[in-house]
Amino acid sequence: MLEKRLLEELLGIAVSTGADFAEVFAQQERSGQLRLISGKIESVRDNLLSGVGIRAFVGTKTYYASTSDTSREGLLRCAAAVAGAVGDANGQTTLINLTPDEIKVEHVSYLPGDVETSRKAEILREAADAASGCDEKITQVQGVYMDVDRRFLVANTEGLCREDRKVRTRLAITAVASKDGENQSGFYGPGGGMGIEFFEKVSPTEAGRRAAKQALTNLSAVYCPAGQMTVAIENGFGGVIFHEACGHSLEATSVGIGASQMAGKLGQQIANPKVTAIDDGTIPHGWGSFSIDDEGNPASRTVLIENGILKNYMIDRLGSRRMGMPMTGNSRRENYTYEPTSRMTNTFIDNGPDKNEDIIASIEYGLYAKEMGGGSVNPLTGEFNFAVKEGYLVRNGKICEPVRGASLIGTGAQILQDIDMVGQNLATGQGVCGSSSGSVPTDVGQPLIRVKKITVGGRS
Amino acid sequence: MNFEQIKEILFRQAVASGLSDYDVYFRMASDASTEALNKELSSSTFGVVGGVSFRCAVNGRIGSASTQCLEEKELTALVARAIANAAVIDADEDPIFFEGSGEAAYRRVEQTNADLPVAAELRRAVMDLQEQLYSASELMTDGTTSAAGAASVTVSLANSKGLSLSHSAGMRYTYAEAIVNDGKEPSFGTAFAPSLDINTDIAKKATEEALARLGAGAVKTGQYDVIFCAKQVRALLGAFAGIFSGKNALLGLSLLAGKEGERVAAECLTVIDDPFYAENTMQMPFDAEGVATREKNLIENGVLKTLLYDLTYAKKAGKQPTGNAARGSIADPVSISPYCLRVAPGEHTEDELLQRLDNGLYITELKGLHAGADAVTGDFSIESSGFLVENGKRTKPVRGFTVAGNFFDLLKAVDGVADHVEMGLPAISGTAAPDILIRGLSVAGE
Repeated sequence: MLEKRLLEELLGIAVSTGADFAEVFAQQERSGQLRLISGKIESVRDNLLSGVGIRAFVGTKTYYASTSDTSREGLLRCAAAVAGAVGDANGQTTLINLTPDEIKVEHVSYLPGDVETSRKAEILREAADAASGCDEKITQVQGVYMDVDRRFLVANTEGLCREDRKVRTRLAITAVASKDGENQSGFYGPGGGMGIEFFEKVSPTEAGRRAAKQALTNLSAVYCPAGQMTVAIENGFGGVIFHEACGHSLEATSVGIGASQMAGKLGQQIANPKVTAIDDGTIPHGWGSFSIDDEGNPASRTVLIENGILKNYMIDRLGSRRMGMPMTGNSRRENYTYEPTSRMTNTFIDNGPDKNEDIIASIEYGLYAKEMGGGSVNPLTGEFNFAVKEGYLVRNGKICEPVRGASLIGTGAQILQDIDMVGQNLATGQGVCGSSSGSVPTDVGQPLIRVKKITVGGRS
Repeated sequence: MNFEQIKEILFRQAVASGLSDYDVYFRMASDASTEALNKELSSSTFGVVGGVSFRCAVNGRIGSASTQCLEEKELTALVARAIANAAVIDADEDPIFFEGSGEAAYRRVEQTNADLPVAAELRRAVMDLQEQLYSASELMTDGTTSAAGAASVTVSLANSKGLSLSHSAGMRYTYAEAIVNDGKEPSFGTAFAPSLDINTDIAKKATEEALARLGAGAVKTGQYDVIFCAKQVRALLGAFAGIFSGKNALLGLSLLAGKEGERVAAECLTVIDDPFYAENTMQMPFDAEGVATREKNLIENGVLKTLLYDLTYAKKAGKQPTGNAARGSIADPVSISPYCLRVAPGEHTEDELLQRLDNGLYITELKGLHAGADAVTGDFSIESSGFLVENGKRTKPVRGFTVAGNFFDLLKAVDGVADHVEMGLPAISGTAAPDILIRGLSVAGE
């Protein structure tokens, strides 16, 4: 992507004014997006993102410059901007010797650029037609087919020089059902670290129907009651509870500056002993997987919580310096315009000891949250929230009528203790996580779990 | 390469490819920011990002492609990509490329903050703020952050109808985040100002907010009357902005469809879309299709006056375009978006509004609106924190509850608007609002 000699020159400039470390991140990313609405493909997005970010460290102070001008002059200006911010030139030159190597674990059958756009359009139409055809109460279907071919290179003053290429594909269907001047919506958005071959595994028709059925269920639902109750949260995207309630608080981004509820708790029992949680960026073709992270370190599998005991954090280079702990291959950024930081990859609660039927049967009165939406957290206090997209009341151990419009809130430290049953049907769901280094694809996951008490934000 | 050179290459290639209708949309943005943490400088960043999009009509279909690589070879290939992309579009109407609104229609806007400040000015601002924060309270603790930054953007648009427009806008900001700990629990407060002036009261405001939140208690589940503080009215406006899109209305995605001229809100509510709001330094005289922008009332004394339209959806709906065609980035297709969406000031002071509320909740924080608010249905259920209001006075801090309702009902349940309007950070698409009193929302707590 960039010549070795030019990289060495840029790194040399970046550390010429007193920095103790520098890194170059170069990115070329082609992304495509087909959007469908009212049965018609209305737009095609076809973009080349191209640029470079250069970063220097002085201890735990960071200096970062980015540019889309990848001409030699543009890159030299970018390196000089970093050096100029660090300090004044001291006349010393540092010779950098890069030793390129390769870490490759993924195989993509089809690159997005090698596939006719019309074939992608067929998949999108198939999903949208399936959603529209579900019921005459489905009044609108929006669909998006998106793919990304992300190529990048990382080089640093420790001699590291690595490239990676990562392909991701996703289909997202939103269906709207209407009755008597009221709208309700349903969503399904499966994705993976693959090209168009992803749809050999995932049926577009099924994806469309799933979104439509959720919209129809919500149309027949009453508003969810409000208050504290026992809640069973289903597998797949249900794992967003761990992502928000705990995951963000285990990122060095907040732990490293002491602004996390989980700082200083290694080795402590922070969750119910039934809870084991893992962040694993190595899962083949995972939505949140990669060969190397955005600092060039290999992806890894990190046990965060084992039988309720806090074992590790997710740590990038800056976090490693701040915390005095090794890096874990979790450094990520949306693109070269962002300075990277520690982020989750594929993060999930592992299978536990309880049978799924026992979990539902154990609830006298409560909520069964079948599909979840997104959420957010304040890592400082651990206060989190997330939306329930499809839910049902549970009475006397039986799943009853559908309810809508609910959210769940709580504090991470409390909820981790209150997850008192963990089932055995682990599955993941795909999301996009926003934080200081932009939006990155992350997988969340869990088996069916029971939270013995949580605040359900419904109607009173 | 500058815009004129890029335009020349793309226009030449367009003509050579037999195209007669096309446009070029160019954006160049730069930014600088500095942050300090725990009394020390922690990071400095600079960025320059440019990119261009080419759109063209091919057999009645619109094709487009975009790139950040501004080299001749890439630009030449861009035209072919756009032509190829047109082939998969299902067109139902001819694409429209605009001749222009006439020179007099484009408001002359003073281009403020177009140049970025020097790094030393940013460093001075953040370190001064750190000092102000740490001296504002003995409870100030690790994680306390200050930031200062600036951004500027130039947008240029030219098309085959002879239209050629360009505009630059910029903004500056300072930000303070106070983290205090009283030995029992941490608490935080934030504030910002739209300038690099170190003599604002944002450190004091952030600290007061953090201290006021300490020792927050729970709320009983039930129906409450609430005041949303100005910042959270802005957040709600942003989350539900899509309901004003004429495209969403036509496609069955906004419940305001067909309600132009009808009462949709309480009489005391007026909502304006304003590309030239005086408090906003990021003003735009033309939209992403070249239509002149203008201020207009969306809701006037409770009555829906107009929705927002680009060229295509104005034609489909039989309306005039409102100058609200937008592009989130050079890569995004044209969509419809407001500029500064603002609530007009009401007749009550903030204290009078509290007295009018009498007993209820004053909400200072809404979290997770991206997930807990649905613009298609209007339903929301949002994690909240704030203060109890007893006998017209803010009393104890409260947190750990949700406020739920439906936005379309909420518009009708407005029972008072404060007279002090607060602008968010300057932005081409921003928000401004006063405190607002709403009757009868569902609260889930203890």
